[in-house]
Amino acid sequence: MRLKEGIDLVAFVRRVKECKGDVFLETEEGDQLNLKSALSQYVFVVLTEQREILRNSIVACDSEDQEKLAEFVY
Amino acid sequence: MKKIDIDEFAVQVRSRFLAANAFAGADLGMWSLGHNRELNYSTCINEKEIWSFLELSDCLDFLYEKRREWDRPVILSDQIGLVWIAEDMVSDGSWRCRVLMGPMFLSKTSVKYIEDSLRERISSVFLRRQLTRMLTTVPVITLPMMNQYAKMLHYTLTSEKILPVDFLFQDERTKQFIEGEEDVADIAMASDPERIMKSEMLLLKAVTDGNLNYGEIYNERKDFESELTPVSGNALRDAKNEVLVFCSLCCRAAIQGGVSIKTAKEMEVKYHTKIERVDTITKLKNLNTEMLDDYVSRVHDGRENPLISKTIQECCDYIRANVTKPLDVDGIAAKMGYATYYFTRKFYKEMGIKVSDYIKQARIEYAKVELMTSRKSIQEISDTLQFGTRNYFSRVFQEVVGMTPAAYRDGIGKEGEQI
Repeated sequence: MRLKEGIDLVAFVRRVKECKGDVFLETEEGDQLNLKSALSQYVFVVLTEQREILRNSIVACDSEDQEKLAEFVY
Repeated sequence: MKKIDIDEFAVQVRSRFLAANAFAGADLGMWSLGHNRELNYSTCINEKEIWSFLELSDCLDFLYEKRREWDRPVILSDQIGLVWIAEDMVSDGSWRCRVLMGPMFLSKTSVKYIEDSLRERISSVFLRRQLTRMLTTVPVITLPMMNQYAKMLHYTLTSEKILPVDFLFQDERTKQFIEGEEDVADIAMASDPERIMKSEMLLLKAVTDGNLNYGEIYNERKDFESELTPVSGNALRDAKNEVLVFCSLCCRAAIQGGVSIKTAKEMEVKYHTKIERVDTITKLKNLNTEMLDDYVSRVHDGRENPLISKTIQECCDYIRANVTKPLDVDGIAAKMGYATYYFTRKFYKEMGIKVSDYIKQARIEYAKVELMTSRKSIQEISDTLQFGTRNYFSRVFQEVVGMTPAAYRDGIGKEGEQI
């Protein structure tokens, strides 16, 4: 899954916190940010202006959590 | 000393001044939040990103979900060690906004520690730098400085002083995190029983003597809260117990100083009642000061002997307050505004004792306290009290007390064992 353009990153992370399993953001360079971790969440939200990184990153999560994140990903 | 009345300025104006000074002094941001968590304004660099951190942490949830007014500083911390101070602004009886100061790192938590953690998880330098660049703008300040800013915030908002022990904490984790920053040396010094005992005995002596210059002894004590021996787990209850005991000791010291038993006991009951009614340690500390002053003054006023002039009484108080400093008769006479010859005759006529002998007696009284409450050697005590040599000190001590300093110390120790 990929992030939609122009989403509210803080709102997205809040939704991630409601997910049962871990949610990862995998960047083009191969880094995996576990968005359940506070440090990774902070790294993620400062990427607001880094649209290319966000556009090229993949969001990975358990299947049961996909519906929760549907508003923010495609 | 002229007290500056800040109440002539509206609290909103005072807050702006504090915000400007906190930013100038420590790059510390100040934020104003509304009833529904909306951001009114901030002075923080990288406001947008830092606001995101605040929204993601538990800090805002804690502040708003508790649905209470924060009338004292509350210390908040998030999972990566960012610390905030929060308190509500109330003006003319109405809640205005919620004020936050921060974020800040305390001395142990640093950007470097976070950089190391990031390096373990993220290989992209660019990605890591996005966060670390942000965090390098967050000031790193010590715990005492954080306490000072919290005290300043409270004073700005309320015109009242407060002690750090009355701060609130977000949760136990935050409290332990903050307490972990305490300097180990400070804790060791604060719990030194000898130092505490000596200070207490000198204060009680000042009560018995009616010595209005007790302030110097009192100010040498560390902050009140550091004297407490935790017993019940409730800091306020423990503090009250300490002050209740001290009040009773002051009562007995006042009786020894000449206050009637009836008067001293009435004072004891009055202060015991007041002590039980206070609800913060700051107020308790102020009450403790008021109580001590009352007892000392009562003894002093009762001792006023019409045969002893105010000058000579002041001289005696001065000597007792400065026994550890060099004291010479010429200097004391000059301080009292008299020529030495006239002053020494006046002193002897009124007190029946020479000035130099009075100084020796005052020093011996102090030495007795040191021998009882400290492990200082006799040489050290002699040096502290300006006796010149140990032999001379021992000789004078024996003349006044009837035994040598060593025998006095041994005698007290054995009495203690029997008890």
